[in-house]
Amino acid sequence: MDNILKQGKIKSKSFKYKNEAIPVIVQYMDQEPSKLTLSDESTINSSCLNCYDLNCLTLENNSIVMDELSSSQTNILCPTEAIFLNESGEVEINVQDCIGCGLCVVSCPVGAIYIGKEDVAIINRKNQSMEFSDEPFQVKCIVKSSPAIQENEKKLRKIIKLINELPDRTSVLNKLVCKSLQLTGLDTNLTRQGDVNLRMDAVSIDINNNHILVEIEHTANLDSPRDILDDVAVFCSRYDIDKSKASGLIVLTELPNKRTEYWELITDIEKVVKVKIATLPLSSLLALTWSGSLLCLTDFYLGNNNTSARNATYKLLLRSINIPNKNSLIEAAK
Amino acid sequence: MCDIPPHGVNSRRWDAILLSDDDSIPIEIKSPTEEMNLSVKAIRQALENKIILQSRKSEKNKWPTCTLAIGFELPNKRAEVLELINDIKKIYDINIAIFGIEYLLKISVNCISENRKIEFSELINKKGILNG
Ligand code: SF4
Ligand code: SF4
Repeated sequence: MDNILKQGKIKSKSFKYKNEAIPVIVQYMDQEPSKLTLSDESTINSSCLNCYDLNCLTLENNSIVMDELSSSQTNILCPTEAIFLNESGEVEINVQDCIGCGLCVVSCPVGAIYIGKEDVAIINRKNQSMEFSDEPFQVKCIVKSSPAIQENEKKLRKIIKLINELPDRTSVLNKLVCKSLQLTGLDTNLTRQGDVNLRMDAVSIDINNNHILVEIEHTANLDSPRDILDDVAVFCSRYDIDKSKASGLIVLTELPNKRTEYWELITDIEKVVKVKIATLPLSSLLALTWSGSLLCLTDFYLGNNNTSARNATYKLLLRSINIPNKNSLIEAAK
Repeated sequence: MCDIPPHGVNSRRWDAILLSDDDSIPIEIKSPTEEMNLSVKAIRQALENKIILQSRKSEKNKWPTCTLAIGFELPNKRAEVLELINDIKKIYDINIAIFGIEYLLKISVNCISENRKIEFSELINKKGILNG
């Protein structure tokens, strides 16, 4: 947190819209600055206001899922900390570090950030119809078009590839998943490495107060369901939580093939010890985040009989996900 | 009777299995080249063996009967392993028992000196770390 905010706590240049206009509608464009309709009915290219809330930098946890986790939580939104406040108090993006995940894009209330042709985030600063302001602008209610970023296979695979090339790839993936789960409405806390009682990567809590123990993996293998079995036993036993109030969630960058044991094992686990395990592809999670949709895990309890997250994603996006058929980003490919 | 399944049969993932007419005990065997001391990994696999056996029903198996992990030496981190075995019992009601080669030799020698076989029924109720 200190890192990204240390430079400019005082915003030297804040903006407001001319004639006291307020933003009403953001319309996202593909690889171009968004269009912003103002209360005076004019439409401009949305541009950074150096606004009050700095939503592009931080996302606070709405709630701490467990007291034990309060110290390990971070409010930093960007998984690689590529976006920061520079010495002039302006938000800036270090393009070398940007993986194009779009979390800052969906979080800017006026749509001033977009993913450009190089698949990295760009902050538009060509201020039209804006003037200097003494006070940083506080954005109230605004309607946004959806999606902020249109998903496609190339974009999603590039994000996964960039993460895989990072030396701290596990931590970046964990942060990306954790903040995306928060943005899609699931309170989620990352755990501390080496905590013997909380061995999972993250813990979420749903609206019914059920604990969801989250494992986040680059590639699926049998260790993920085994980890969940372990996580549930240790967690429920040591925190005295009823097993029926805990379930597992495995977030995967790619889904395993049909022939792998993964699908059979999660089916066996549910059948024998009644632990439900949801399988959520990172692609579904990002598509939901970019579309401002809420996540509901009900249809992601895949298994032997259903190895595709396509329908589950469709139900939440209210449209088809833009990934070709038989693609491991969303379903068991072979 | 003890059966060793052929390699690569997914529904029979255990390394060996003790069989009676109406019950079975799956065994996870850790060789010294895999791990000198039994660890939580062996416990996890013993748990998985029981779940697969109960689900896929490739052999008859009664719920209370234990699932075994046998290694060369007992775990270094005994407290951690025992805690996990107890957590699994408390939450899933599955009995896991583990022992090292020393215990196996001991019961074998006992049986030889008493001129008898190890009874299946002697093992079904075992639980925890066996070293007595
Ligand atoms: S990019 Fe958006 S959220 Fe960030 S400072 Fe500018 S206007 Fe505010
Ligand atoms: S797109 Fe993602 S990686 Fe890039 S600056 Fe925004 S939040 Fe950071």
